[in-house]
Amino acid sequence: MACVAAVAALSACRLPGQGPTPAPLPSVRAEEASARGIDLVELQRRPWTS
Amino acid sequence: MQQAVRDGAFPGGVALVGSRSGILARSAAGQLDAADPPVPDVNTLWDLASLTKVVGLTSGVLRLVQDGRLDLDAPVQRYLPTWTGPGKSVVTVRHLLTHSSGLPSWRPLYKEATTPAQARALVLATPLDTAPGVRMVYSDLGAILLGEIVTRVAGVPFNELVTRDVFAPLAMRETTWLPSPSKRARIAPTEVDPWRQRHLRGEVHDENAFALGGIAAHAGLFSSAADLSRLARMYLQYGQLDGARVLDSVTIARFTSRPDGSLSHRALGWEKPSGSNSAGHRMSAEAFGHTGFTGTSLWIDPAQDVFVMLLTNRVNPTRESRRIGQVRIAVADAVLGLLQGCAENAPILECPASRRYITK
Repeated sequence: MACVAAVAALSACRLPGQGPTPAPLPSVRAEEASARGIDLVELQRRPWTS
Repeated sequence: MQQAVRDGAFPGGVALVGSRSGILARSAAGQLDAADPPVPDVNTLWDLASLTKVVGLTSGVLRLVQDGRLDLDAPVQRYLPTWTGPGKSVVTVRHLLTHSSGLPSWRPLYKEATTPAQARALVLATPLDTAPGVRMVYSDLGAILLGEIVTRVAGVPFNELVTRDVFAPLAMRETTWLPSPSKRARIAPTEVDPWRQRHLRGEVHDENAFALGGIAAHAGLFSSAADLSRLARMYLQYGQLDGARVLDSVTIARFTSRPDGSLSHRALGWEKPSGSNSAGHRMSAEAFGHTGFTGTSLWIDPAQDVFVMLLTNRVNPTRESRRIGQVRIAVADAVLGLLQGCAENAPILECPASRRYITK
């Protein structure tokens, strides 16, 4: 239990000067994007991301 | 993005594309500073500059309007009776939101005032230089005045209203004026400021916002791509996010539509696509957005269910680089082009922007 608590405490920390860890961002699922006609792989591949 | 860094458009930047349900794509390039190697990410904190006007100020005004506490067509003097002078009696709240009040664009408050109170008093004393409602002049002074109105009507400082009623319900915990020094390592540095004679990091770049104490309605907010994505997704869902209603959908529509007889490509607070501004060429007529001097921009297109955000510190180490304008357009066009089913780099005439969304 002590290890679990320690890991939880560590995961809530960042380096000094960075503040607490923000929540992760939700990603649109590939199937959902595909249903809209969006190719996520292609979107990530296009030059604006490179 | 990498090419933009190589071209010297900015030292570091993050682009984020999303829909109402989440993030579609993200990209980061460069580093925060020549002496600060980490690549920026969605949690990097950026000086938003004039994005403050829409993310902060306009959100606060919208809240008061939806609650029936502020009348867009009321004279400013209803809320600020001491704001007097030639022509001022006919200036309305709407004039301030559409930058058509007749107030000049700017004055060097930071050179004229020695305290925030003096700077505020100078704004209130500034005379009109054009008749109200005749011409659009993008005015920081008008935005600061509008912040004074929000403060007066809300009964609390405008930044507290926005933080309490907009940022907190959206869990935008990193969005703030005067960011804590504890977050300094995550804040993108801006200019080596010739006036303050130091490299700015975590203090507002805009000199007048600094003169106003760092909390100003026209500039001064710091935020992250992650936080701003929540605001953008709320707008794409017409005022709600994760089951919580933050803004009223009808009022959002009023604020983000191009008004009849508009003097410019402006809605209320927000800009609209003009064909030549940072929206690029593929946003729908429903889209709205804004830019910030430090290299930030956000465009939201409900008709295409997409937002495009670009956060950079293009003023690091100097404000002289102007290449960000082309980058904003290139990113918006590339992203929207794909969503519209266009071939890569397809010219607008070969793949008209309206092909896809107009049928929705």
